[in-house]
Amino acid sequence: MSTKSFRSVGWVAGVGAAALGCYMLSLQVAAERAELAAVERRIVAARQQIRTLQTELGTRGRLQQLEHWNAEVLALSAPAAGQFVENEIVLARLETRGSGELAAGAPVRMASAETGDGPVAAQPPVRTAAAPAAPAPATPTVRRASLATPAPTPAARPIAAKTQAPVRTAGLDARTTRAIGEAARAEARPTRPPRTAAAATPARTASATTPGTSRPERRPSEAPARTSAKD
Amino acid sequence: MATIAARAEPFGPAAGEPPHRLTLTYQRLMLMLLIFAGVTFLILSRLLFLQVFTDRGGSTAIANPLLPPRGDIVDRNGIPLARTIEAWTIGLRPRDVIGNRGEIARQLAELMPEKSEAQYRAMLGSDRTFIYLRRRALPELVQAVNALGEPALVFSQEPERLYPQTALAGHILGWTDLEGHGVAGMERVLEDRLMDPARRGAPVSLSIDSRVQSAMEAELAAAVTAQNAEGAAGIVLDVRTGEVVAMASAPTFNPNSTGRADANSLYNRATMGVYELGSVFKPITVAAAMEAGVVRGPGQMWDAASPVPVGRFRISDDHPLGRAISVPEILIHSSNIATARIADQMGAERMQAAFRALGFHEPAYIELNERTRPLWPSDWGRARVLTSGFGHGVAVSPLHLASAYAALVNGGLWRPATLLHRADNVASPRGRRVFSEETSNRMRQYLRMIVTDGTGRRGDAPGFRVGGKTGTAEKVTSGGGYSARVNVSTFAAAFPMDAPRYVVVVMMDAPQGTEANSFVTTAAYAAAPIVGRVIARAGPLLGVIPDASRDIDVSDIRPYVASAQH
Repeated sequence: MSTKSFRSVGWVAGVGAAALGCYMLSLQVAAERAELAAVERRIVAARQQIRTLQTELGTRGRLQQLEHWNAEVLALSAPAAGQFVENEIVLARLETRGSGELAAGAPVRMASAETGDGPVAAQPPVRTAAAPAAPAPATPTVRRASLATPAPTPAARPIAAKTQAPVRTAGLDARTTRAIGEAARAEARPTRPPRTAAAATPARTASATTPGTSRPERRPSEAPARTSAKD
Repeated sequence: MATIAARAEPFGPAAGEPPHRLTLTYQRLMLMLLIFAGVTFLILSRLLFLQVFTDRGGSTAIANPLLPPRGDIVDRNGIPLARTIEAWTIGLRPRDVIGNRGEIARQLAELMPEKSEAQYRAMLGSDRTFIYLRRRALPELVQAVNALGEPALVFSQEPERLYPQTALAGHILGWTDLEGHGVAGMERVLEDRLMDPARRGAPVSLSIDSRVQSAMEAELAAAVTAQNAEGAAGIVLDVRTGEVVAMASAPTFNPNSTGRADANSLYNRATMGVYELGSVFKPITVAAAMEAGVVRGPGQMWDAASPVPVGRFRISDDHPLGRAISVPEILIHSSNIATARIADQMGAERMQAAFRALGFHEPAYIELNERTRPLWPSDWGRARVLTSGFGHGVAVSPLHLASAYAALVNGGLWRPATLLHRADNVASPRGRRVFSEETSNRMRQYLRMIVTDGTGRRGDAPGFRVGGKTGTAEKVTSGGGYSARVNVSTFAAAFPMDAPRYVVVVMMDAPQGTEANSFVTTAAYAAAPIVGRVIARAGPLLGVIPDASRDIDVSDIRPYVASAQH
């Protein structure tokens, strides 16, 4: 009898507990959902605020206002054609400091640092031409050659670059022909073995004559200069 | 044990009565019980359902709040040109006023001085239900009015159309009415698209570049002030797609407050104004004559020695050369006589056909409703044909001219102008062939030479390879005749001439001789310098980098130009 009545109580309690559990669960879900909705609302509010602030910023920084400041306060004007740099070679030409040091007889290390690239070393004709002329007179020759090119002001024009080429070839030509003449005479007797360091010097300076044009393949006008040095 | 003796008759089935009566009562009772229980159960279950399944956040019911009530309009780079914002509105319900009317009127007049105290008092005393005191009020003002503590003053946030760039591109954008419907400009054209709930979430992108537009408007405004002109118009057009990159008309207006703008500033001179544009037509005539075979080569000589008699008039040049001149010289010196002779040989039929091919006989091709039909003459007598060759007698809008010049330099294809940004992956319209490729190439050389050697020198922007033609027309006065002193000065240009990308047209309406134009109102002084400045400013923004070492090759026509003139 008692177990029977307890059983019913147990049933009621069990069902009650299960119902309560289900209810708690659903309450939990509802709470989570409400929280999610609140976050979403905050996101929406933030987006709206962003939009409002963007609009305000855009209105305050409107182009007419900028135009007013540009024209009347800062007095800016449109950039001219010369202020645009087409490529890095033209940009490098704007550098004037390096050429001044060269003229003052600065160490040649400066120049070698600029043209430490592979292509220069990989030119056997230059080396062979320089090797016989390795003795003392080679160094002043080099100095003069480097003097010739910095003389024109660093213009940002490719045209100016082209006009520079003949000047350099002429300078090199006169020197090298004389050097080659000496070399021809000197060839009979054995000179000091041509050292690579000495060989590198003329090559280095030959490229140092055009500051900034480090890569020979960029300058087709350099080709004649090299060939004349070889001859 | 007590015994209760009572009549059991009412409780038990009486011998004499039928037994079903009591059963019926029980059944009725039971039914009532069930109904009550059912209703209670329904209510309880509904409560339970609500308790469990109702989302207390209640946000799912809100429609997407980020969807604007009206779509945005942006420029080709995404800079907003028109937006709808939630703005504060201050209203008044005069019937609900409880405070002292005189005191409130005084305070309102202090806070919002656009109306007088007396006006506010009249509003407070009126019998209307609702009056707007201020639309688009600043939050500070709303706070201050709220602090008055008058319940009759009501506030609400209402969607308002805002043009963040203020007067920029006002003629293109147009404006909306108080209900938020577009009534002019692109707001009107795009009404359906901007209000469509499915599409208004994404902004509409116009072909305008606001930086270029700003440069054009600034230069035009400066020129109008400096030259004391009636107005001005300027257009930058992409020759390859027909997209209008900038279109300005001076004076401008602020679409945020259209009501305060005067009629003159609302008038879009670039599309609504039709003008006899003068000598800028000459390249079109020459190109048409090249197509027709009338002009066969640059070396063909045309007599410019003596004026051409037409009826009672004579067509003469401002600076007579007194000799036969070659085709490039006609354009460089802008010879009316020689152009008239070319037009004479072309004849009415072919001249008309050439102008029709460029759309000069119908309203300009653009989305805007604000455009006017050109003044297309009905009779094409000889005088008309000859004068039309140098831009008199046919009045078109500056936009017509820009489209025609685009066809002149882009290889000969005429395309309708558009204000809608064409995405990069969408091909531009095929266009209609008006000139051949050779004619177009030749015209580029001629136009460039006009700027390097001729009347357009002041329109050059160094490094941008500008080519163009000046045109100074006498303006038709209100009396009907031409006024020699009042001009419409136009410079139509394209750049860079070696590979044309953009056409720039600037038209000055009735400039006066001032220091800014060296006291000369012809196009060479009044309009060309503006084009040069606009190109210098806008060119790099449009991706055209100036390069002084590059230019179009004109060496083959150079021998035909006598060099003594410069």
